[in-house]
Amino acid sequence: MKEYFSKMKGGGTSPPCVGISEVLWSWLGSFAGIGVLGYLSSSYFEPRDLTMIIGSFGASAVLVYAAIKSPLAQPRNLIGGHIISGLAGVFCYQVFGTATWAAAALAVSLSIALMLVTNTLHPPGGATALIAVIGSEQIHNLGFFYAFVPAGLGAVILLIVALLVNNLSKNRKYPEYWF
Amino acid sequence: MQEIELESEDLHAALEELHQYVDVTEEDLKKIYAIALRHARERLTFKVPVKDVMTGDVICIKKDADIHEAARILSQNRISGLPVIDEEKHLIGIVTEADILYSTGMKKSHDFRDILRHILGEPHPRINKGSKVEEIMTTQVITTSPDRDIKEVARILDEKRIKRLPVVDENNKVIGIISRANIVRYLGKQ
Repeated sequence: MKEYFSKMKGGGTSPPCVGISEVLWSWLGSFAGIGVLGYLSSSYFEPRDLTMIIGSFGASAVLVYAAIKSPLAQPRNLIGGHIISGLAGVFCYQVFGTATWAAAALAVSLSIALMLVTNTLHPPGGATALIAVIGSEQIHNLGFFYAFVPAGLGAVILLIVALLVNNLSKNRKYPEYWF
Repeated sequence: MQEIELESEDLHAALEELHQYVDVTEEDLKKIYAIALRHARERLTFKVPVKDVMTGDVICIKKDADIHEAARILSQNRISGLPVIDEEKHLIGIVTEADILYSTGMKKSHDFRDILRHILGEPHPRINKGSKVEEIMTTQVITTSPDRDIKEVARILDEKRIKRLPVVDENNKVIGIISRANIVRYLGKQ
């Protein structure tokens, strides 16, 4: 029991802070990525009763523009994580939709399990799965198409911007690997 | 290999030098380093040259020896193959139990009917290849140098489905033999 609670002490050291240039590149990348998504969404998708921007892309932006060396931020995880989680979320909503709490819990847990199995772990995927359950009527009406638009396509756009912006800096290289 | 103990400040400096956010803690980095170092050490220590494992006191047979002599040597020494050498002790072939059996009429790969014939006492048609070792030996011998890693040798033995490799020096003179048993015995001692 003592050992159990002693684990909660932590005891490690936090990593060093990054320099100002890293902060600026991360800012620029995330601004451009979310900006492009927002623009495309409002100009082309929302008039057609679709959307291109969901909350989980904010979290993806943190990874693909600020933690670009992380395995969680690599293309396989970014695209695979969102699509797999989107499919898991829609499946859980359609099967357990009446009990929202159960559908939400199952969507997130199933998406995590599937991402781990397929080696596509991408934390924002959990949000993509959750949104499929607790999202608006517009999201629910998309059915399994939600996993591809906005989830998959949005991730592809974030990836394209990441490739363009992250590699402008001489100290940065993205991706570390594709698959 | 010189032991290097990583301090927290070294890891902190390394992370800082990357100039980017890396989602790994110093503690995990230290653990990864220690494990990787252990694996590297294991990999290097496992590289064992053939000369450390082979049987150096190898029994050879001259090419003009009689096959009955070869059979006697194999039987007396409880071995299944003999390197065949010329006058200058150069390796020119290998003679195995299978070669001798083949010369007496046994097929190298016999089926159920052959075994049945044998039980019923049906005589084998003698394949009269000759009575000298050089007439029945296998001439295309796969050999190894004494410095090769035994892992490579194990792979060859497995792939070619053979039991032993003669070890030869740069002049093709037999200096030893390495068998499956040598490798297994060595690994058993580790």
